[in-house]
Amino acid sequence: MISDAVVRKLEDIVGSENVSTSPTDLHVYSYDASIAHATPDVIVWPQTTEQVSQIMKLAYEEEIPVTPRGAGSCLSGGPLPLKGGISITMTKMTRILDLNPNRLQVSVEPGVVVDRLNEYLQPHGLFYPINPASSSIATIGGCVGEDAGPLRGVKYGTTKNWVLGLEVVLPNGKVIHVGSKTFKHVAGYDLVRLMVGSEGTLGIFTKINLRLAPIPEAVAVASAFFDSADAAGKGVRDAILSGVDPSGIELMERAVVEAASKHAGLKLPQAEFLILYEIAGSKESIEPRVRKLAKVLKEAGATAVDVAYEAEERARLWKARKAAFPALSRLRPTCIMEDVAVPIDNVGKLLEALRSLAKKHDVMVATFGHAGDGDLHPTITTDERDEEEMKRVAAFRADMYKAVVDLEGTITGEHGVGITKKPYLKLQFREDEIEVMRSIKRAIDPKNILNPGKII
Amino acid sequence: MGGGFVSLKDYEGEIYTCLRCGFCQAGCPTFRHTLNESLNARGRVILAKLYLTGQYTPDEDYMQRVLSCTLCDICKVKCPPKVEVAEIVEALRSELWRSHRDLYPQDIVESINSILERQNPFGVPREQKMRSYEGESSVLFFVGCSSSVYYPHMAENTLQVLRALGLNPTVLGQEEPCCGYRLVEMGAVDEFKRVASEVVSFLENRGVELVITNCPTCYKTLKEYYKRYTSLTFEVMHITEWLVKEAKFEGELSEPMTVTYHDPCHLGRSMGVYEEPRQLLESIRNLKFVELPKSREESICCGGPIRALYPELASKMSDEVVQGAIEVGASQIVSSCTTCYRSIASSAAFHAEVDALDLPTLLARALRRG
Repeated sequence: MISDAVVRKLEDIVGSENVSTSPTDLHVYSYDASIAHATPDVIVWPQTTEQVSQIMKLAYEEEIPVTPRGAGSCLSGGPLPLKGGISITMTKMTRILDLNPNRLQVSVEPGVVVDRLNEYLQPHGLFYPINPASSSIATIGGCVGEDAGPLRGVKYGTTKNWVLGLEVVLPNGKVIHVGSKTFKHVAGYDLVRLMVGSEGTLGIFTKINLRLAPIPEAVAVASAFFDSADAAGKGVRDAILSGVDPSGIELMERAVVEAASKHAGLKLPQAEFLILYEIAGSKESIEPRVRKLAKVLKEAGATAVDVAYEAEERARLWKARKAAFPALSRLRPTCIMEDVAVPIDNVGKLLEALRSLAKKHDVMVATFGHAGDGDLHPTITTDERDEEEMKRVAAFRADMYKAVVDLEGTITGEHGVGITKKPYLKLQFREDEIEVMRSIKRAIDPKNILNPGKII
Repeated sequence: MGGGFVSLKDYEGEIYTCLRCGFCQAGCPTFRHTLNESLNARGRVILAKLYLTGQYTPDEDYMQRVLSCTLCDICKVKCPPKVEVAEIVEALRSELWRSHRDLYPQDIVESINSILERQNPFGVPREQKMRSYEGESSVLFFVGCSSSVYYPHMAENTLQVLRALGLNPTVLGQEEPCCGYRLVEMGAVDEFKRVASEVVSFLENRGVELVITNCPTCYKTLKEYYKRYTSLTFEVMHITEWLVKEAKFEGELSEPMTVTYHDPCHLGRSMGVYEEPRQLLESIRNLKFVELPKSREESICCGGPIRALYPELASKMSDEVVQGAIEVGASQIVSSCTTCYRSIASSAAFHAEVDALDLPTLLARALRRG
């Protein structure tokens, strides 16, 4: 519990209208988009770097846990305050500070929502390519904290590839600036990479300098159908190896296509696996690249390949892809979206493993995801009120992570470890490696007040 | 959902369908203007779940979060699995009205009593409703309390337009019952059921076959909420539907005017009436029609339903509508709803370049070539 005196000090820093200890609010801020929950003692909405710094100084002095929060759309429990304390919510820091089109850079505060940023950039012919499925609400700060990934990760990678610099408030309240305004720099340790994806455990971002990309001139989407996991895996790998440079490769298995078609009112051909390929670039480059892609996919075993050049037709296909998760969520009362990644030549094996493990544990699992990054979202539909079934779900998850690590993969490609995957980190790393992580955490946050209990 | 909302338990499935993804933040106006997640749709579903599972005893803050939802339904537009949040909130309020009536603001209790005792939600004597008109006995122009008490000119203008196009409906004046929306809105469901069946028998006994209304809230209440509890033997149409379907409206303005249209939540998102008001506006010569930045199913709630309870929050919402109109260069924001009109007018009063205008008044003026 936090004393009234501390609450008053917080009110002095940010104003009483930006502090809440209302039990109603605290209950709501106990949740994110994961199945976990943990309740803060107080919610604070700062508006300046100086306020964040003062909050951290106070928390450091009083040894109060502080957990940063953006939109609360995290899928791994990142913004949930496991040890209570202060939920520091960054959604009131929403300024776009400095756009420099000639440098392809923009500087923003952490509460800027991804779609708002892209609306702002669009007239300049630029965009920030890392748009997760939640881009209508996800904040840039949250995306940096979780190293969020986009739908077009094959070409654009993840958040870490687009953050050039950060202003960070450290646990002791000191404000540091890491990174550089250049596209390359090797001056000292790469503290930007350390901070991106640190899930709010090392520092609080108050300014973020992002790299931008020009909006591609033309786009086409090819859809390909495969009868087996092995052929689908080849269809992913060979498309990338072929040099046609797809920007995104998205996969949906049969159960997902069925549910999504029904949900979105679309008629899609049924196949064991449907894969969408986005090809973007100069107008004249599109057609020859798509032709080559179709040939490669047929050789990989695709039973059919269709191409959508028109915006309307492309929108129809993306609508199906975007309907995947909501459609699945309507099947059963509880829906748990997993997030595992393997090297791109192991996608077929991962798909096979998921199917056989779901059968073994008698759990409903439907898989879709960013196959071109090797990152899939096996989605478990279940009922959290059924204890026996939840035990089977837990057993499936444990086996799934083991299988993923055996395939030289990772327990999380883009959602973060947070609370929900913490028990499985040791499957991927040995104690020696986790100890290095711990020592970094100790060096930056000796009192362990920033988002304690997460990751390690 | 059909069958009506008897208890929150009936909505357990809907509550569990909420993924807590938070996508509703992109729509919910009470969230946008407070940035407090307990004033967002997801927050309200969490609060409903806490009540359902008995984990939380409502207090004043809890009531404020639940009662400040305008039921505008934009969360459903943004919700991937299309959770019926507004219906969950209605069901939650019906529980709270039964179990925690003492926590309701006095304004609401008085408004509810006023409907039951005086046939209007404003606490004014029934005699303050507008005058009656004897017309065709089977066609009723259902004025609605807000227009009848505060904006009788809107009703008079509606009548002018209808008569000019060959329809002479009856207006009940003081005899017109309140549709009872405020009851169902605030959770007084048992009271609402009673009012619904009384209003329906009253209209049926009078031999009404067609009800035309200018009020989107009365329209939704009669056409949708009543159907949950009782069957209707008469047809219900919004004035804009009747004018487009049954009459050929033509009008002209003497001076050019740039007009935008605000979709009322109860007419647009709730009932799907988007095109008719636009067709009417576009049929007026000398009128240039421009869309608001957010229109049709994306339309922004004007805050009207919570203006009395939470005026500051409601004003931020209507300010946003007015700002949108200024952005697109409109000099008039037309709405076909008295609640929206009142809200928008209160914000437009601070801006010289834009005014609120009700649709019947504009149509009557266009008929006169005024």
